[in-house]
Amino acid sequence: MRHLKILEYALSSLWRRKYKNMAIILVYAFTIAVLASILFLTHALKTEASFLLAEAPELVVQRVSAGRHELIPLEYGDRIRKIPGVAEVHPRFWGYYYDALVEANYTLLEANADHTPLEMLDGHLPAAPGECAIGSGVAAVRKIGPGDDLILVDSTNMGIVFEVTGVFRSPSDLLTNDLVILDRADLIEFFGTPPDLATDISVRVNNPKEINTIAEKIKRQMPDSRPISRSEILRTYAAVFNWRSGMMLSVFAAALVAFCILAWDKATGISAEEKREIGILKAVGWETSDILELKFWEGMAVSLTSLLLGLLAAYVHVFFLGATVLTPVIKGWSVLFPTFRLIPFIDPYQILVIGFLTVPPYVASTVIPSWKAAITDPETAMRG
Amino acid sequence: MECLIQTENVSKTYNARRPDEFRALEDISLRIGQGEVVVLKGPSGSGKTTLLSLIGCMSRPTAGSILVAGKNVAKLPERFLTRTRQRTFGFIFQQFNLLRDITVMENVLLPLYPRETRIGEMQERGRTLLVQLGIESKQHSKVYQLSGGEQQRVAIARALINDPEIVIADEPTAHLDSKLSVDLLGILDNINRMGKTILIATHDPLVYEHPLITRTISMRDGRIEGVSTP
Repeated sequence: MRHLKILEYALSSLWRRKYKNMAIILVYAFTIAVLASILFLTHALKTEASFLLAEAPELVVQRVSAGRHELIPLEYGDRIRKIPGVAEVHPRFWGYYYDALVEANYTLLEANADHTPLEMLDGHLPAAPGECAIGSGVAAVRKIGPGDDLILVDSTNMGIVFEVTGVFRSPSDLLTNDLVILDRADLIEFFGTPPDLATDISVRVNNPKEINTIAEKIKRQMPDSRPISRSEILRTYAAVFNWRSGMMLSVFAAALVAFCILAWDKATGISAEEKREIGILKAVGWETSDILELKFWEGMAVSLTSLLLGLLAAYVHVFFLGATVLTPVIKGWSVLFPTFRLIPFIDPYQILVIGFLTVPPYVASTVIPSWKAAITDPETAMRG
Repeated sequence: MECLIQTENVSKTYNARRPDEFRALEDISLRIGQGEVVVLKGPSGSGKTTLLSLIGCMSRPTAGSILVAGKNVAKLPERFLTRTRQRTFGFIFQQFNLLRDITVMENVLLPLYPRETRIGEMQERGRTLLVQLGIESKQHSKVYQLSGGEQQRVAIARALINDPEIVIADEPTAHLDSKLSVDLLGILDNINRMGKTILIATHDPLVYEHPLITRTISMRDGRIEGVSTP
């Protein structure tokens, strides 16, 4: 009963200074929104990447020439197949396409690759030459759907017409957003890939623990090859996103410093009006602990409101507005076109970290100066 | 008459052992019985307000003892001192000391927030007092919307909400005109009739010459100059 009444008084006290408190909540919520946006976006991107890589082959072998990725001879596949421990070998055909019409990058992929998440297709995969299936980002920028035509310009500068047979629907836009799936023969012809070459080779091994050993054997037998394991790609993604979020966190640090200055300013003194109020409360019989409880509730109300507003703003910014402020820094150029919408993935641990970083310092900055006033004689405190 | 308040050789020094040291009270000894209406009179700076704040547990003496209902409050820890203040005293301050931007009713109920009294009961007690003091129609008004006399009544209602044994009033007529001062003395008379002991600091003759007063203690330069009974 007593605690509820003090809480009620705390809320009415905040309402009395509504303009000042609203200004604090605004600054506070903005700081939290910036921090939460970075964490939400980074986490969502990492989760999308792990979705993507869950479907990726355990080992991909590329050919490197002068440090650049080159097409790989199909004959390399035969040699890899003979290495003990290798279960399956599939040459893969894919490539990038820049669509000058809408200024977007697409990824063109062969249709019958068994690593493609086919079950996510809305419609059907291309079953014959001249057909294609596209990601939702491609469908959006070209404003097309099943039954429409997609015209792409091939390596001989000829416009090729493909009929759209399906549009991908996926829990992860990163996975399928920029995809254009073509019949294998169409893809080889479109890029003008020589008949004895593939883009890269996917390898499945019997024992996943042997991946690194097999990768070493491939590298030894074919020195111009570059075997890349799925775990290496995952580490690279994590490093890239961590590095970019690190950059953003440095920017955020400036906002945090501003917040700390605000909190410090609050912690180092309270106004004469507040001191007078504490003096009056003491004079009419409030104990020091009652005043500390009152200030604790005030601090909690402001900081929790700011935390909720900040988290909500970050959620809307990242998952509804596409993180318009942070996207250019965090995502990088390669996934910018066509733009895609992130699927909300939130880690409760991150929420706890944000809460822990922001709520206790603010509550402490509210309670500590009040404690100093509350242990003073009411007579002295009332003078302000 | 049963002794309710007793001070023995009470002294109060501000800023002790500093260049601006100031002895506000020196060797004050007095006894106040239950139901008395005692006036502390004297010029500004004579120590009236300091003595009231020591008796009312708002600050501690530098030396001496203060017994309230037989308990030496000069030695009580902070927590118990607050509890004594909460349960024994009601204060009417010279500047009213009301919170200006909350309502009359909220001001009156302030002492009850940290107590285990139900909200319904709190409001009932508040309303009864406001009716008795003739300001029930102002219960939802903010304090800054009230006249000086009305603010004084709100301060009296707040002082009485805990049903204290002792009411302490510091210069209660300082901001009132003659008519309002007479009204206030009428209210204090009623409070005294309820069995409360009243301690008033004033230099207003209208107060210390009023028939309600049972004893007048004259003070000067932090010492008791004389005691008179009408």
